[in-house]
Formats: sequence, structure tokens, C-alpha cells
Amino acid sequence: MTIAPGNVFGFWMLIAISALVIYTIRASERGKFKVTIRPIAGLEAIEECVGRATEMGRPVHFSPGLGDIVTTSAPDTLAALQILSYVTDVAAKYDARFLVTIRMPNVYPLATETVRQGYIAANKADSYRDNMVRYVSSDQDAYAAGVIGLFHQEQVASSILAGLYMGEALLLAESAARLGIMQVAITASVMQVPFFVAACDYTVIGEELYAAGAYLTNDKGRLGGIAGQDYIKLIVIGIILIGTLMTSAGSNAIQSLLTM
Amino acid sequence: MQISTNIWQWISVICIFGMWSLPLYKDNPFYRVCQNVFVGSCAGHAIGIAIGNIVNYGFEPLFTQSKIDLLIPVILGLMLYTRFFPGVAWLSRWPVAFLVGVGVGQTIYASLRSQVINQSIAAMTKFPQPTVGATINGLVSLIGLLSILTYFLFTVPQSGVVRGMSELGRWMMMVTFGVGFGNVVSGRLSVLLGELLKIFGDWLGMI
Repeated sequence: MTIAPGNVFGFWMLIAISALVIYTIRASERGKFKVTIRPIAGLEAIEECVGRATEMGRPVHFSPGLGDIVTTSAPDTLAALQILSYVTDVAAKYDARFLVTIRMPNVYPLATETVRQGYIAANKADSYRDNMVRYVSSDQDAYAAGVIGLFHQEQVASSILAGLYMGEALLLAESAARLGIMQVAITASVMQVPFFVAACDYTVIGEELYAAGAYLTNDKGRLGGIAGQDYIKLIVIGIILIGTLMTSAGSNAIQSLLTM
Repeated sequence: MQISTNIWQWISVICIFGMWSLPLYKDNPFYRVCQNVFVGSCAGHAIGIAIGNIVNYGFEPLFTQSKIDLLIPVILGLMLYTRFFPGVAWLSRWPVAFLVGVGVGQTIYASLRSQVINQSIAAMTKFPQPTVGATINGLVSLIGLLSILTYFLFTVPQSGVVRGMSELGRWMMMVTFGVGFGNVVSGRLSVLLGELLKIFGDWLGMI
């Protein structure tokens, strides 16, 4: 068995990255080094979001985005589900009315289980209702229309939009802003960030989405994973700098190595 | 002016007005009817597609071509419904776990290849470039990339050079977002023009 040409470096890099991240996770769990994440204002505002809804006696809405769990959008959706777990804990703690809307059918059972387990863990199993998690539509525009309707009909007080978003991002965020709904958007969808920045109270951008789970739970293992990813970014910065210098000097050795 | 006699044009335009009534006026029964027609028809369409897929890619090859291996996805699919039976509800987690595993497995190498290795190669440009303009362009791209990467270092203390690069990265992103905002707004205007064409052209026959 041989590795297909063009994938040799990628294969070994994947092995090295995985080993590094596993090492940092283990080291952090064992307390070998302490990981501190820089403050992310948008994530701090989630509790305020739920608290506001509780005080107003109106629901807090959560969307795990438009992504699926079987495509390239899987990391965004799984990160959004980690945030859902935290929001469920806070909503259960405050006894807030909670509403989760789903676009992809595959995400529905995961979201339902996450919310149900959150209420059980908070000793609030009686407060859990099956209609807290609602499948709206797998069509993105119909999903937006359904959620906007819910904003009006349920008189939502706060909305947390996490995960992958596409063209309907502005429809959701602008409609909520018009109704005075407090919003926190957490997305790595570069093209949609401008709209969330314009229409939401807080916007958490790019890779902050993937770090959110660790940031909110303060779990040592997850924090170790974030530290491992930071080391990888530093290595990539180093490779780009060395590659640029060598290319300018007339050598394509780094490019050849990466495409090996 | 010749108003269309096609019933579907009328329904289409009525639905457009219904959707517009929410932002232009407020929540109203007309909007709710149009919203529910839209969501319901999309759900019906999705169910139709799903049933077609199950029959065409599942049952038909399984029973007419005896492709026994298709029993695995069929059984996994049926296991999803065990969540409605409390005694065996735990079985519904297996297909979900399988889906998540396949999703992550498919994504992990593709992301590394396209988002890390290929982009790193693309960033390694030669300096100086043939023209001053191209050199400045290349430098802005390189510094922008490195500063934005620095902004997303979460566990490195934000002081000294890191802080400076991080701030620069933030400004770079804000400029990029501004450009993106402008592009999409012009794209949305073309969508609005499409709707106006439907109303004044296809429906009223004025254009």
C-alpha cells in the first residue's frame, strides 16, 4: 500500500497535527500546563442574552446554523452544538423559555438529545418539552421565513445564531434587529460576518466559533485542544515566512515539499 | 398592459406581496398564510425527494438487483425511528454516531489539504514582483494573512508584537467585511430587480 502522490506531506502532516493536539489535550488534562484563552466579548454576552429573556418572560432562540454533520460544514455544526449545550445549561438554570430551530434533518436528533441531556443534567428534566427543538425546513429560504415568523409569533427576546450561515443570515439578523431582539452571532462564514456585525449586538467571528466550546465550558481537555491548534498556527506562520523567503531567493523547495 | 392569465403567476406574485408585508407593515395573517405555504411546500418537496431517493437508491437496487449491502443503510435509517420507543431509544444514537464519524472523517483531510496546505503554497509569493503595484499587492496579502492568523491565536498572551499584529489583523478583516458587504448588497439588489421584473413583466405585462 502506498500513499497517492501529492498526498504524502498531507498524510504525515495530519498524523503530526493529530499527535500534537492529542498531546496538548492530555497535558492540559493532567495539569502539565495551564491554558488561558483571551477574552471573547460575544461569548460572555450569551448569559446576558438568556438572562434578558428570562426577565422579560419571553423565549430565547438558538439556531445551530444551516450546516449538516456529513459535509464540510460538519465542524461548524458540531461547534454550534457545543454552544447549544452551554446555552441549554444556562436556560435550564434560569428557567428561561427555550426555542431551538433546525434546518438540517440530520442535526435534529443531535440537537434534541443535547437539549434533553442539558435539562436532565441541570435537574430540570420536568421543564424539558419536546417542542423546544423544532425542525423548520431544509430549504434555506423557507427556514429563514419560518424562523422570522417565530420571532414575531413567539415574541422572542434574545437570539443566538451559531454555526454556518449563508444568504439568509441578513434576513434573520435584520428581522430580529427590527423587533429589538438581543442577538449574538457566532459564525465562521466569512461572507456573512459583515451582516451579523451590522445587525447583531455581538458577533463572534471565524475560528472563535471553534474555540467557543472550550471557552464557555472551561474544560481542561478542550482548552488543551485550542492550545494545540495555536501551536499548529504558529508552525504554519513559520512555514509561510520561510517559504516566502526561499521563493524570493529562487528556491521552490518548500512548495515541492508541501506538494509531495 | 396585459395582465397574466396564468394562475401560477398570480400565486407567485401574491406570495411575494405576502412576504413583503412583514417588513413593510408588520406581522399579519396574510404573511402567515404565505409563510406557511412556503414552509409547507418546501417540506412537501423535501419529503418527495427523500421518498424518491429511498425507492430509487435503496429499495429498488436492493430488491431488483439483489444488492444486499444496501441493507446496512436501510437498517441504519430505520434505527433512527427507534427514538420513538423508549425501551430501544438508545439504538437511534448509532446511526447518528455513524453519520458524525463519516462527516468528520470526510472533512478532516479535505480541510487540511484545501485550507492549510494549498493556501500556504498560494501565500508563498516571490518578492520583489515585476511591478511596484504587484509587489505592494503581494505584501498586503502576505501581511494580511499573517496578521489575521495572529488575531486567531487564542492562548498566546496578547502583548508586544503579537498585540500589534492582532490589531492589524482585526483592521484587515474589517476592511474585507466592508468589501463583502458592498458586494452582497449589490447582489441583493439584483434579486429585488428579479422580483420587480416578475411583478411588472410576467404578471402585469408592463415591461
